[in-house]
This record gives sequence, structure tokens and C-alpha cells, in this order.
Amino acid sequence: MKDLIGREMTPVERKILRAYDGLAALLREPGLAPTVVSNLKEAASSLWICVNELGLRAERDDDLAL
Amino acid sequence: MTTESPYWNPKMETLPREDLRRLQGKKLRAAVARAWERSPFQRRRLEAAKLHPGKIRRFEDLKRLPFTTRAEWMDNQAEKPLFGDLLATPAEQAIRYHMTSGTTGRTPLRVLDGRTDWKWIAECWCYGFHAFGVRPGDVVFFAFSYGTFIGFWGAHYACEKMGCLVLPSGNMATPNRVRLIEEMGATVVCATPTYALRLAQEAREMGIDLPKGKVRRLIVSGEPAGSIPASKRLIEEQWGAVCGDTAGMTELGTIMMFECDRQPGGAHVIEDHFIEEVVDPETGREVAYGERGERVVTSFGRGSIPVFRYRTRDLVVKVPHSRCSCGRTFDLFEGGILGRVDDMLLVRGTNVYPRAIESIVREHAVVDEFQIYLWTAEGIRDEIAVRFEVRAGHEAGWEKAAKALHDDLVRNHEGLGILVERVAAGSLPRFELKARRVKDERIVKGGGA
Repeated sequence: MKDLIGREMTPVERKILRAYDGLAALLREPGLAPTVVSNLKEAASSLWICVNELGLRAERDDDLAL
Repeated sequence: MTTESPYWNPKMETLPREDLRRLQGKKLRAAVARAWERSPFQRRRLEAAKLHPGKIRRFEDLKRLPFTTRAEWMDNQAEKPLFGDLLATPAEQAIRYHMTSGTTGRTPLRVLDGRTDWKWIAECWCYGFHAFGVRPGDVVFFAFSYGTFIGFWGAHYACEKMGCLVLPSGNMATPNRVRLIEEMGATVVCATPTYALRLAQEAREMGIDLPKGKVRRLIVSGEPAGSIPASKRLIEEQWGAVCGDTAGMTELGTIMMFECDRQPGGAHVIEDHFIEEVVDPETGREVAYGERGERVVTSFGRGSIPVFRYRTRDLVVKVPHSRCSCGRTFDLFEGGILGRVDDMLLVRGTNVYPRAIESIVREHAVVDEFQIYLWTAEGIRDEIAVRFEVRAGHEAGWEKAAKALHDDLVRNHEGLGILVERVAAGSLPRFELKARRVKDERIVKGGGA
């Protein structure tokens, strides 16, 4: 799995990406309480910055309305 | 878990230039493809340039994109109030509204940002604060009004995120701000350069010896003076602290350059989030390293507002990253923002730049505040004077200094007759945000003011 520069991602970078994708998947679950949605969005938004900062992915998940 | 690094983002701040170009190319491709799908304003511009997103794949493709001007942006907002159709996310998803401060342009630009935009805005500020030595545990004071001008909002969030104690001063009067800095033991002060001097003046009048206090760093923004050596030296002397420059703009939402703790005489561009070109303001052609030109910025990070090749009208000189010894591979703007393309005043055929005047004026310790005043004499002739308030305790040295000031100003302006006038202490305006030291009352202005 490579980053945007073309380097192999480190184990930690892969974990960060997996954590973000996990939060994104949670946010797509139906019937979440407002508190869950808001706090998951805060967390996913912060993790997205992390993903972006490390150059792991450039495309945004606009369907999540982060 | 954590290691002390001089860099906020070591991976990106030390990336070899060829890798940085590759990263910028990938981010550019994604940003253009997204703008095509989500921003009608950008899609129309791409279609007018006969560009499908598929044609923007690498960094080298950047120059295929047309320039964006502030006039286009403002016209779009006027045609489709309030925000035009530039936004790439629905307005309903925004969490904050801001607008430009209005020092240029007919009407302010209005912007909306979402949750992730704000996290990114703060993130860019973190590059600057960390690079200038701010760390968790610092006590950071903001001389900022927290209104619709975006100013230090992102810096405030950056410091909270870094684990600093933030002291917001909102609409406090200057003496109360000085008192808060003193009482709370602020270690970092954020202000415009002009207001940093104003705070120092107030502290003197209150009998507070700032250099003996706890403030160790000043981080300034909002005016070119933060990188004028004489102005920076004056701020550092009066505070007994080091002064670092940053520069940002509402159109981007955050800073795009910062000065690191090596103080190399310029500011590093945050190149993993922005592409900064420098072009001849007349022809639009790129100029070489070391040549003065207009900043043209492309931004990747702000999801709500995609900005491609925006003509900022800021004058800069780009120099290679090797000019600084900090190890970052981000290029620098030597001397920060040098002024604005339309700041130039034409007086009897001579170009006069307010920043150049300030750099001369701040070499003279007698000067407390100043103003550049222009008027039309005898209904036809342009005249220019620089008005000065003399710093308390320096009155005896005024006559000698006035002659030196006059000689310096004239010598640096091709012999143009510039009058030097002393005015009463406290009679010139003071500024908390962007200083406006040019008062142009000419009937016909020879240059933009």
C-alpha cells in the first residue's frame, strides 16, 4: 500500500488509514443518535487531517459531510 | 509516544523537492477533479479553458489552469448572493461565516467553512507556531477582536490543539490587555506588528518593563511590517522577545507561510498544502528565484473553497529552501510579503511604496508612530509628507533625526521632495488590525492607495 508520494506506507500509517476508514464506516451506519453522529464526525474529521497530513490519501469522503 | 521534533510534520517538511512536486501533483489532480464535480464556478472556468479534469494529472499541468482574480470572485458573489457558486460543499454544512477585512476591493468577500476546513485551518497555523518554538504549556495571548475578520481565529484553535493555554482578549481595551499579559504570565503574544508596538507603548506608560516579563515570543501577522528588519528589531527590543512573521489571507482561510526559529529573513511556504507561483504582474509570466513578482496561490486543503492560481496582488521574492539552515525543504519568501501590487503610489513620476517608507522610518528610534500624507498643491502638484509622532523621552533628538529622516527618504526615492513633519503625540491613528498609514487626499491619485 503506497502513499501519495509513491512510498510504501509504514505500519503506523496503515493503522491510521484503517482507523479513519473504520470511523467513516461507522458514520454510514443508519439510525445513529445525534450525539454519536456529532462526536464521530469530530473524530473522523481530525483523523482525516492526519491522513491528509501524511499524504496517505487525497480524495475526500464528501458523502460523510465532514 | 511522542518525540520532540523541530518540525510539526517532519515527513512533509523535509520531503525531497522531487517528492514534494509529486505530492503536489497528486493533490492538485484530486482537487481539480473534485472542483469539477462540486463547484459550478470552477467547472465553468475549466470548461471555458477547454480543460477536462483528466488533463490535470501532474504538477507540471498546473500552468494549464487559468488564473483566478479577486474581481471574478467578487462578481460571482454579486451575481449569486451571498456566496456565489464557488463553494464545493453545500452551504448548510458550513459551521462558520467570515469575510475579508475590506482593505482592498469594492465589497468584502464572504466565505463559509465546514468542520474539516476549520481543523485544516488550525493545522496550517500549527506549522508556524511549532516552527517558531511554541510548545504545549506555553501561555499564548491573542490581541484579536474575534469578529468576522478571520485573522487569528485559526491560530487560536491551533494553540488549543497543541496544548497551550490560550488567553483571548476579545474587545478588551489596550491597558487591560497589557494587564492580562502580565498577570497571566503570557509567554507568547500574537498581534499585528503595529499593535505589538502599541501594546509596548501602553506597557511603558503603565510602568511595566516588558523585557523583564515572561513573554519570549511574538507571532505577528496581517501586515508586511513583520518581516521589515527595522520594524522587527523595534518590536523585539521593546518586548525583549523574538518576533516571528506569518502571513495568511481570508481567501485561503489560514496562513500559507511562516518564519521558523532560525529567523532566516523570510517565511517558509507550506508547500504540502499550497503551490505558490511568482509571476510578473503585467505579463503573468513566471519569474525566477530572487526576482520580485506577484504571488499566485493554489490551495488543496480547504474543502469548501477550491482556489486555483489565485492572483493575490501580494509582492514577493521567492528564494530556495537552502537559504535557511533549518532543514525544511519548503522554499521561502524573502522578506515575507513585500507589499501589494496596487500599493504603489505614483508621486510626480516617482514610485513610492509604503513598506519602503516604513523600513526607513523604523530605523530611527525617535519615531513612535507615522503617517504618509499626500495632497494636491495649487490644484495641480502632488505633494507628499511623512508625519511623525516623537517617542516619549526622545524629544531632544528630534531636530537631528528629522534631518536624517528627510535625507534617507529623499535619497531612497530618486530625489523626490518628501516633507518631514512632526505632529503632536497621540494625534495619529493607532490600529489593532491592518494599519492604514497612507492618507491620500490628492484630487487625482497617481497610483492606488
